[in-house]
Amino acid sequence: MSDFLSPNFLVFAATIVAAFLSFYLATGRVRKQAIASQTKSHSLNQYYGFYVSLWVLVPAILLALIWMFAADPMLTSAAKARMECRLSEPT
Amino acid sequence: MNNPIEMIQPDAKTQARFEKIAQGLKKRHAASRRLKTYGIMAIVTAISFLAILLTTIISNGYTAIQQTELQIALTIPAEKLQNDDGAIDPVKARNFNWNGLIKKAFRAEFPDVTAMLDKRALGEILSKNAGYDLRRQIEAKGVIPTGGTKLWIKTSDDVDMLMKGRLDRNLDESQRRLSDQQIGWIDKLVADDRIRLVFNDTFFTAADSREPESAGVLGATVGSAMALFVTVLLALPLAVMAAVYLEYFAPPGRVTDFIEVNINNLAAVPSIVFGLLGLAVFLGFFGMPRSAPLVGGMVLALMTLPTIIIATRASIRAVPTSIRDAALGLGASRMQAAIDHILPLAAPGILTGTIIGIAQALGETAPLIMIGMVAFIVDVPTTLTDPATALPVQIYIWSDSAERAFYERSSLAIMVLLTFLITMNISAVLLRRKFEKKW
Amino acid sequence: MAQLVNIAAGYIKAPDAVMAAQAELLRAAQASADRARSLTLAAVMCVGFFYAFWRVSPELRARVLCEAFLRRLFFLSAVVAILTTIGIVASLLFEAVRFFREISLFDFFFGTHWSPMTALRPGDTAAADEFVAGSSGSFGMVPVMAGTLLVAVIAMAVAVPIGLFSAIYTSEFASRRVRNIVKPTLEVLAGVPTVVYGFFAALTAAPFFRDLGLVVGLDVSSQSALAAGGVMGIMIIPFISSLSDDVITAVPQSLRDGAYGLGSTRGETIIRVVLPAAFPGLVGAFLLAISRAIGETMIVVMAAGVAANMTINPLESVTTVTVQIVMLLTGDNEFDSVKTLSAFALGMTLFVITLLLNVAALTASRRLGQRYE
Repeated sequence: MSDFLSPNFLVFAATIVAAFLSFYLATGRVRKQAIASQTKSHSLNQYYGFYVSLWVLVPAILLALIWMFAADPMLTSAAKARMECRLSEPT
Repeated sequence: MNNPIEMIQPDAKTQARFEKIAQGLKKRHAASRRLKTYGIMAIVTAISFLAILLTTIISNGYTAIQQTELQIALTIPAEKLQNDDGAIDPVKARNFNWNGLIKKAFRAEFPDVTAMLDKRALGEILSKNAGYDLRRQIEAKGVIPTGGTKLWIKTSDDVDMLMKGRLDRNLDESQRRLSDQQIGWIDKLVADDRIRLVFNDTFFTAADSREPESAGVLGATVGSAMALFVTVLLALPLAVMAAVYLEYFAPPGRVTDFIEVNINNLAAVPSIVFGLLGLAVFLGFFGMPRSAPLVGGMVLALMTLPTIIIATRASIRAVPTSIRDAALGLGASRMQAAIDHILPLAAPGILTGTIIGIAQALGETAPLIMIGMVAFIVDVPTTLTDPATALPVQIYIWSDSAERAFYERSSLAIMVLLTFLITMNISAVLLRRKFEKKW
Repeated sequence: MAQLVNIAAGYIKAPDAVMAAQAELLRAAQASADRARSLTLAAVMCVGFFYAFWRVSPELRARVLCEAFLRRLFFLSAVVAILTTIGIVASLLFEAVRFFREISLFDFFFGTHWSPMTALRPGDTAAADEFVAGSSGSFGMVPVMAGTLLVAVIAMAVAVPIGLFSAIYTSEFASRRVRNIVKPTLEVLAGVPTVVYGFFAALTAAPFFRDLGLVVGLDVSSQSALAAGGVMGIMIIPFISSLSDDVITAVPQSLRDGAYGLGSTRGETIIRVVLPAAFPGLVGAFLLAISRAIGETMIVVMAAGVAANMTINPLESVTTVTVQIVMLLTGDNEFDSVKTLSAFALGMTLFVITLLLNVAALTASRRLGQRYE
């Protein structure tokens, strides 16, 4: 059960929510603009939504992946260095 | 009269030749028939192999559906287990010597058994996990049975085997796992109607155990299910996207050819090589946890990917081009035609291919052994990174064990596995039949 | 180090104060890293959102952009197949190269003694002495390869006649109804998981052959190559029968009609005309089956032996490449001992052999296709 409240899960959920939110914001914006300027938009409204959600999601996913492969090993190696430092101290 | 052959009068030499041909013809037809017979024999042999395989497994495994139990009157000292308010205290319950209680009660019924060795032999009739089982039972109920209640306790696997007729009484005592004395006790208990065979629910609700009578397939089944979940999650989208790309967007050229060659080759790479890949890359390079269904699922996904890609491409190709042409003609983009029109029509075929690929993955053992899903795990996994085994691996582990009872249980586990596989394949066939369209 | 990570995650208790303090530091670092990650992610998402949101206007060609992205994503998924191959080759090659740094190529491919688990006692044989220096056993793969081939040959000896004759019957003699029943039934054999065959081979077939040997007066090992190979043969029957069936059906009807027209019987047509015409395709099918037999793991792991015997006697116990890989990599080995590395060298060999067989099979069946285009 605690898995559902873990930071990872919260971040994941927040990302999904942000993606949906941006989808609706973008469709709303393009609809309004089209009405305001009385032109027909180039694509169906949903494509603007997809476009913005992609811009929200893709960089975030890429960053998370990079983080996953870079940060944890860095932390552990830092801890390892500390350990060795401690161990080499005369006791 | 008009028949030309009758008009020709063959001379003696030709006549002889005709006869020779006629005689030879019989032989030639006999040879032809023989070839046909060989064919029938081959098919009958192959099918009888299948029949032998299935009957051996069923006849070995069906008895594992039952488990032997023994009735013992127990007096459980409630005061040692309860809190002040009368509820069962988990700490006290864990520390209580349940096995001792059961053994003592059992021994009390054979007062003439006094020698140390004989007492031990008597204890061997009971399951080593009897105490643990009893505790779980009582904790689940929340009520401590009153003194002298007759409870059914699991017997050891040897007694189980004896009751199922899988232990030869006529064997020399030294080669038997139960002594004459023990068999005598058991016969007495049977005569008193205190031994029964009941449905072996442990088998379907427990994970692995050292004792056959407490071992079950639930842990392995959950492990398999988790791994397959990961497999579907990864393989299906990847395969569909790759198939759509190769069918509709791939520019003819070297890169596309190379992708196709790779897919075809991967379909024929031995599964153990995928296991080595998982071991070296996922475990070694990325440092993922050993024995985890997550990694198992990833390896199986890579393995089934070619199968699903090939099936998806076939079902995409089966959709007539007129659909796509119509979509393009009405102004859809190529991507819209593919996603909105072709894929929904190809979906049943894709689903069928996926089910078949997943069924294949479910039976796969070697790559999972490579990534360490072969460990002895007594807990049912709850997350994707918990150590787990899979159903086929469990069969492998059990068939390696010395106990006769594990042999029986691995046969039953095979039957469980085959049931899953048959269900999956039949549903694939039914799906295909229901949604198959003749264009 | 792994221990420290586990302590920090709270899986195990710290054995002493120093460890506990270090674990606490690590946990704190992890927590702050998590926080930093969340913040960075939020920042990145905001930047992405505002950039995209600002660009949204009726003139923006959003569909084109989305589709370009999707197409790239589709391409990347197709590339996963290439990446998998690269992953396989790279991982096998990487470990194999490390192995060959310790053991020379020549010793590995031509050495006739395989016992990676135990170092040889000095003075066993003259040939063995040179391996003692390696200290962790000897790695000559010839006996392992010989065992693999023996098992594969036995399997093919069972599967080829049965599979081929079944295919001839289903494609040439059987009525449509019989064919529709027989073919799926045979394919059930292919759907049975290999672990089930292994179980059958180890616990039914092997004792059966041993007892049979006792009756006849032959000494059959309880892990005989015969049991493993025979059961593997059963497993391969459906491959050969369905592939051969396809190949035989692909032979043009005109060839058969020509043979019938010249007065040959059905049998003669099949043997003298159809089979020779289908020959390249059949060879392809057999090669695929051999590749399958060599790469098959579970049957041999469960039913064949572990000791590498150089023998062609099917009644004795032999070992195979796949068995050795499993034996070397299960259990608590260090990841980079020579033993585990040798498994990757074996895996590399296995991969190359099956790859060659598959390519050869493909070439063979392609030649069949060209012949009758």
